[in-house]
Amino acid sequence: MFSIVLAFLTAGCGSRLEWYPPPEQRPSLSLPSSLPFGYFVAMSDPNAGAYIVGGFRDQSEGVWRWTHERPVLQFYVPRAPRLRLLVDLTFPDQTFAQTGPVELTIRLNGKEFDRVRYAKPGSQEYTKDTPWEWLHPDAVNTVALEPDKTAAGPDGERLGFVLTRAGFVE
Amino acid sequence: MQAAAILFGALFTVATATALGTLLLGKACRDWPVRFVLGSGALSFLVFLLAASGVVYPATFAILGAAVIVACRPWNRWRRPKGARSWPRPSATNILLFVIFIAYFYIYFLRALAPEVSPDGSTYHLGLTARYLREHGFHRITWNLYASLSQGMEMLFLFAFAFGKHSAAALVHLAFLVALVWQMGIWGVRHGMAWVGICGAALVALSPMVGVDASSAYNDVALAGVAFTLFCLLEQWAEEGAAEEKTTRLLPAIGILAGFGYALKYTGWVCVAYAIAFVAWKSRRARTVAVVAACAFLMVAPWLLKNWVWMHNPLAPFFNSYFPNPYVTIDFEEDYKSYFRLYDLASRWQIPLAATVHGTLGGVLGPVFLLAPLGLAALRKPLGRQLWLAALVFGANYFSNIGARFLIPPLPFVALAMAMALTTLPGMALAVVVLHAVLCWPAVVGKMVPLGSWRLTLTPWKDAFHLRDPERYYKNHLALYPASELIERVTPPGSTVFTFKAIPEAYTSRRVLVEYESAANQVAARIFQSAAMGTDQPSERLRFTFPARKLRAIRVNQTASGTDVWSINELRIFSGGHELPREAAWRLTAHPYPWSIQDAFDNSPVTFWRSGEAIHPGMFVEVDFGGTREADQVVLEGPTDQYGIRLELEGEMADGTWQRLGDRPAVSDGAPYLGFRRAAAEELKRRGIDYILLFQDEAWSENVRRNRDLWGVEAVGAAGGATLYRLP
Repeated sequence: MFSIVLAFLTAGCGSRLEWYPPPEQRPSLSLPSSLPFGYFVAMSDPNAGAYIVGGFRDQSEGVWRWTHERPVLQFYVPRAPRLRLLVDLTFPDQTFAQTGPVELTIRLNGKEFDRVRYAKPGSQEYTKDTPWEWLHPDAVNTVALEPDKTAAGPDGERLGFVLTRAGFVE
Repeated sequence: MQAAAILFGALFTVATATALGTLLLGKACRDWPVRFVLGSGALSFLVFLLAASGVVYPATFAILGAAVIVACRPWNRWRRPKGARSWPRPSATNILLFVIFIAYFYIYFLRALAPEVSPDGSTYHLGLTARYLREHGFHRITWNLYASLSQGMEMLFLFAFAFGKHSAAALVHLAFLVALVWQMGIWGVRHGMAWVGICGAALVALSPMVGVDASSAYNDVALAGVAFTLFCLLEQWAEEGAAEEKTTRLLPAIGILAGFGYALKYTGWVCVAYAIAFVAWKSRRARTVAVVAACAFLMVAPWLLKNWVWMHNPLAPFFNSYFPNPYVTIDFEEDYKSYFRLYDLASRWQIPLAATVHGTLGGVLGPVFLLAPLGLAALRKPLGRQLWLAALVFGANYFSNIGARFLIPPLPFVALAMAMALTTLPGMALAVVVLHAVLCWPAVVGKMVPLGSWRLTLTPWKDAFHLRDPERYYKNHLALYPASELIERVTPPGSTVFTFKAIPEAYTSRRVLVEYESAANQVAARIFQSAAMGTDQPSERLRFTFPARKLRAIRVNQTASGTDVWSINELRIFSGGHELPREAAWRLTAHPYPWSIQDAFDNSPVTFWRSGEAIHPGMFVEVDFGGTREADQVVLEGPTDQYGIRLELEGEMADGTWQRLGDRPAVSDGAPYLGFRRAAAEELKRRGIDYILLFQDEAWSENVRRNRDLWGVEAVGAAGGATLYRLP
């Protein structure tokens, strides 16, 4: 009876605030924050520079960043059941007009992993399953994305393509 | 044997209801249909009390029914009442109509007797009924919004189901059609227009929508029966109410019936309004109105109370903006109501053809009802005006759900008005009824409506009497039955299964969570879909950065209006690049929908807080540190598809004043989480789900089929295009 009366008194009181303590914390899906970089990077990430070994412009422009002739990224790749490499990139019309179709050579830890030919400008998503024989689990791995042609940019800069995000996903 | 149990269950229910009605009405009204309909209300109320007391057993019902029937002493009441009305004498026309009635009712009887395969009947009307019987009464059900609807009809189903299972329930509903048709005839005879009554009754009874609904475990025809009985009783009270004994009996009966209308179906609230308004208008006495209102409230109150106590909303699952609760969100309610206001039609002008001919509103009333405007000619007479007024009142809810079956409650009044107009032309009424009979024959309807439209088919008598294996009948007539059978076969008792499709729950004893049937189910669906489809994954980071401050609390305000729903997967607070650990002293809240705010602070990217309604200024999420903490950054992780939100951050300083800390968070993308699918599966398991049922035609099923290792699930069976996976 008491609970019924209590329910009547409290029901429908939509404006009151209900406060809760923090719940039990779940195991993190993120890598330890002590690592300087992880397995995937978006160029909008304030920490994107930590992933770049070389071959990129110094700064991102919004969510993307220009590459030069030999862009190389580094990732800490944790052990996982299956992984695939994912790269979101764009060949802008202006540079594509200079270069024409571009062949991209992808190297994992210095070994040629794949070659892809892009015959049209615009946004592209590259993804491919990556067997563990190509990777070092729980260690730093490098990914090089080498275009066979680059365009001339301002101040003699060589421009490859625009990278939005890259890394390893399930 | 099974057919005998079914028939016993149905007949025992009808007999108990009629006996109760007889006890309530005494000599005030001797028409058995009135007694049956009124007694159904009383029986429904008594079954509610038994279910609330947890004593739902066949033996309880047997004792109750036997006691009521004995108390009624029907053997003393079988005398033909004095002054019995005269029905039309036998003639070729009458015999033709009689044959038509018999032919249709035979079809309906076979359909109702056959294994129950109706969409709503096999999912929730009888799914819940079966659960109440298994659990011997009500238990709190927050995962199925249909359990919050008023279930006066389910209480009658429960009584019948206890003896004859599913088909007994359908037969009880069919009894309401018999009572309705009979009363329409009596109404005509009473007013010296027997032909009007008979023709009107034929128009209703032969309608394909009415037929398929009445012969299924639904409640629309029952509501029509209650509405018409109420109309007749009010008419009788207005004519004969001066006699003290009759007033004593009739007024409570009117109130009970009106309240039973609400108990049957929420849209039956108009019965209460109609009864009270009618009695007030005719009597102009507060005491008279109070009797009706009190009896109606007695019937309505249990359903309000049940929802108030269990769902925090007496009108659940609707009116959630007035009664906020964790179980049904406002945005879902808006979407739900929005769909039923127009279905897939482009305009309301399409309703007449869709409801009468095309069958695109879930069934077809019959092309003859396109002639309904002819019935306006009846407005010339007082009786015709009464009929149209009742049609308007009982159809008042129609535009909140334009399904064809929602036209059934006002249909008897429209049909009688049509018959009044048609009978003014010699032979016309008969011609229209015969045309109606031809056009409504199941084979003809089958050629008229699209394949998915709900309609009757002729039921072989061997199937109807359960002389052939019912499994074959189920599989041929109930597309998702194999999924229910699979669940029942391969999962242990007590299991909980999540599914995106409403499967026939009446044929499994397991707890089935259907995606749209509660807020918690929708959260589970989003967790699953975010992992399977990549949608709603918390890939966006909104970062407020500000000079380090000592703060007692922070509050993130949402300041925009729009259609997006605000969502946060994780809210993290940093100081000097390190996340502040979430301490036990912290207190969290949100407005609106505070109930899931902990999900934004559990360190899991798969769970989330969601506002549950479209964004508007005044929404916020707040963290009280229970002391002062130094902070310089607040990061919200969420999905990318909430473009309309505008956020600002406020902080409560050490001196108790609030200051704005930022209103333009930096936006960046985060890394897709590894192990997201496994985490989603584990989260569903943590939320009490043991299995997930996926169908081949669902876009997300392929992801699970291909990546069982990443999900950590095991396929335990497949049937009828569905695969059942056990969660890790």
